[in-house]
Amino acid sequence: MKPILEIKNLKTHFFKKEGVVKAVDDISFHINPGEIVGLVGESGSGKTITGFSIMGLVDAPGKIVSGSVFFKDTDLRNISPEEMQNIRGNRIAMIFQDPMMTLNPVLRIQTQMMESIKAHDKTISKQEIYNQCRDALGLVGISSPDERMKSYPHQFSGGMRQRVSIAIALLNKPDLIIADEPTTALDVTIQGQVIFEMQKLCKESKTALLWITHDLAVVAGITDRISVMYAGRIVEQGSTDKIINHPMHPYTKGLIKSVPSKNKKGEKLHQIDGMVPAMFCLPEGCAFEERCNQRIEKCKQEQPLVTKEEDGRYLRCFNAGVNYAK
Amino acid sequence: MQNKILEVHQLSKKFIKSLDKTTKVINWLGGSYKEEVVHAVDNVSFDIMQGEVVGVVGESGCGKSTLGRMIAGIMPITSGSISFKEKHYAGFLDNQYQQNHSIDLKIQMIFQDPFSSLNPRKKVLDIISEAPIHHQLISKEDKKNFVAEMLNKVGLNNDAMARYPHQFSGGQRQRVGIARALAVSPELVVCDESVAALDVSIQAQIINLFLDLRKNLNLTYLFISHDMGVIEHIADRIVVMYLGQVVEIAPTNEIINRTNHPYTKALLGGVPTLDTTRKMYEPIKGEIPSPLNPPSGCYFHPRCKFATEKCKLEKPSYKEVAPNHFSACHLNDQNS
Amino acid sequence: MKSKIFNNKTKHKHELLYKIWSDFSENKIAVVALCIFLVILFVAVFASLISPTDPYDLSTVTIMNARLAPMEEDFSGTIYWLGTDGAGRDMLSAIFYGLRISLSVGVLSGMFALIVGAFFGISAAYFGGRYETIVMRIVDIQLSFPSILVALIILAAFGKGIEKTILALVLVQWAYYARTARASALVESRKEYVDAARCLSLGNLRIMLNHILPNCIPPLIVVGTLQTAHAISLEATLSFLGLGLPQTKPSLGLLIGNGFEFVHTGDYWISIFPGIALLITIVSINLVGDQLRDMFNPRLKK
Repeated sequence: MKPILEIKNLKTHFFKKEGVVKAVDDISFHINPGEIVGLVGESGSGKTITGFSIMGLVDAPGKIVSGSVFFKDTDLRNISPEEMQNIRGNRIAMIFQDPMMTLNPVLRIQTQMMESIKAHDKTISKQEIYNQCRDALGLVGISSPDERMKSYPHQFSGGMRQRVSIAIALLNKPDLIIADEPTTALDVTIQGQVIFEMQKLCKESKTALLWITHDLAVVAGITDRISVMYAGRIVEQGSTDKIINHPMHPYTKGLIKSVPSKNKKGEKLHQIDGMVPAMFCLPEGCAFEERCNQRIEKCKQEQPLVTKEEDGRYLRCFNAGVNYAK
Repeated sequence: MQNKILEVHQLSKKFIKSLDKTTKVINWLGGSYKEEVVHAVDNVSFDIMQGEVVGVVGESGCGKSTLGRMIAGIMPITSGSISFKEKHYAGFLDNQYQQNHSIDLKIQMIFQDPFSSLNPRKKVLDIISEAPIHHQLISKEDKKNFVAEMLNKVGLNNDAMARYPHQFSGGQRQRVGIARALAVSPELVVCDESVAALDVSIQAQIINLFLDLRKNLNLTYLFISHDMGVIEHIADRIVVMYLGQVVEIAPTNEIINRTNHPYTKALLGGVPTLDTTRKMYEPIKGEIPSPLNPPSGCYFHPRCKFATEKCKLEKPSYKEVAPNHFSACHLNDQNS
Repeated sequence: MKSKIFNNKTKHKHELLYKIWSDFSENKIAVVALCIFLVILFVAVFASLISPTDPYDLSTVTIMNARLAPMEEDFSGTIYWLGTDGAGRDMLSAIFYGLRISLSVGVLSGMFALIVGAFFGISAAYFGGRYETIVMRIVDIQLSFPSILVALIILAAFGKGIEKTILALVLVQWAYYARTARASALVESRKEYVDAARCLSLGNLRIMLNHILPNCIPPLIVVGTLQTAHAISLEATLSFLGLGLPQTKPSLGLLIGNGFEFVHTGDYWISIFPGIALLITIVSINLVGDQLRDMFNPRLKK
């Protein structure tokens, strides 16, 4: 099966007065049609910039320095802005953490949704467009869609707005949706609803989904594969079951063990000491070395390259194989 | 047995948007505009024992932040009372300003946003030492030593003193905020979503810090969060709130193993866990109602799987359903 | 384990000043304007030392030298670079002294207006309620009148003179500062560090002065520079109309006013040169103020 999205050795750097920030530093991964893939990382890991790089939304002083982003058979880095415009919102859609990044506060929902379809298909009739929009709202669980179409974004709650953003993303039946922390700002009970709906919709329409988040627990239940990012690089990549239940990279292990539910109540949580290194002065060797409890001499001097393990996962670590006592 | 350190009794907070002159005139002429009232906190009562960690959990609009602010004394209350160690202080009532410094300093608050909770123009040295010097708890000469001691307690180096907040990361700023609160030797610390804005790995560090400080300094916590996972881990007792009202209070393991209220069940059920076998969510339907227009009867009835006719009409009574376990649900009446 | 400090590498001891300068110097025009302004400031401060003559020393001024054109010599051989006025005073010196007066009045009134305006603006934002409504209504009403009109009314009520002029300028300008201070203070008052200060029982006055005010300074500096230019221009207008400063302390406006009658007879330099000096002063201050405003506007940051 040919992947629908294939990223090879992508590097996106930001050129600031104080120095160069290597926000995304040589990452490679792929998404198959209809798959749900999780991209997990904390702040500063570069996950959001990865999403923006795919969509071509990286502005100065940032620039994609090298690497390729293949969507089906096209390298998105080599196409004209008009062609990119055709793909964005049409074949690849994006959902942001803050629904107000998608929704224009002064336009009715109806206007915005219809605009989104019209931009990519000039041939359908207005009535047909309206029907599609109304159906899309119904699909994401918004009751009385005819009335709701005429509302403005501020008349919706946060959860509803996010659902409208999802509806807009699905309008043109894209092949891939990139969702950047779509449920982080939502309440727990609403989060459950939205996760459920996205999962259902993607499975039904066979849309591939890239779910970018810092919350491992959210992706554990719905993704097929997970990539874990740290300081601009992917440190571990593989099937969800393996990554969550049998993590190999020390960072992934630490992350999983830090989650409160994995710890005995009342006792100190497992913590990863220290913090993410300042982006202007990344070390020569492995970026995680300072905080790692499995480090060896080599880690300080060289950056580990990506290796493929026997179980099919990809790993960036010199010393992950050995099993340490938890 | 421990002593009671805080007693909250029928505490309420109403936000009223009164009618302006034009609307009043319209009303006088026969219109029927009503004042908009939001019962942000509605008749909440509970106690906190010394050394306990009481968790308050709920979603947007449940009033937990407002509750925390009233207890910390930075928001006026509308009615009810709050007593600290038997001394009634009630923060300050809406129209009367009562301030009792000695009690005020005993209850401190740690805030949510590490980026706006520290004054960007002050050095860490001044941020931490300002209040103790102002209240004459320490002298100016002792400033540096005192701050060094505080920084030590929260796990920061001495050279943090001369820096400004923007030179620190989120987790470090939270530590400075904690040091600032500890500088006045509080006994009760209200943590308002204090770890919500932090990454998971930093969150673990700060939670551990809270647990250490509790042990070393004999602190009591009121821990407010929307994250059930964190609350389950750190709290001894949990208060569950919905739209300004308390729906359930019980010790943590009671809440988890013998959940009573349907809303609590929904909250626990909706929490994403690291369980790869769980492939589908069972979300509850409906949106959180607007606090301006709460449903009739039991606030949760529109979204509740077990709702009956009675739930639509009558407010459920708040009763003890097991030792030290309180809940407000009509289903309990049927079982007893 | 102790956390390491985030950004260990500070290139310069006064990192903040360095950053301000480096942002400011991105706009070359503003840098030029700043240099020009510094020259003007130097001239104003040291006017008495660097002026070729003292135009108000009656012993050296003689009507025999009246209305000499620029670069003309008088009978004793002194070249008057910018000519002389109707009473024989050297224009260059008069402009130097005039700059001093104009700048002092502008800056002084600006400072007082800032203090008054910031006080009312910040306290209005902090306390809110009826007090805020009253203060802001007064500000709105005052700002809806043209400033020249307000100044004229005040001068008509209090009379002429240098203190009265400064008072009038302060009363005109405080409203701009109040509005800016209030907008800034509103944002700051809602931030959590103010809540923390209240939690620590630090007292309202202390919180306003020590916590809120320092964070409102950037927009106040921007308003300050632009308002100073406005004040200088306003004072010039008043003096031109003969209502501002007295003849003994002529500002640039008064010089322009005095020279106005000679324009018709062709002795343009008596009015035009002070006018140009005024123009350069105001424009340079405005350019500096514009750049400061752009610097402090986070939305324009790259």
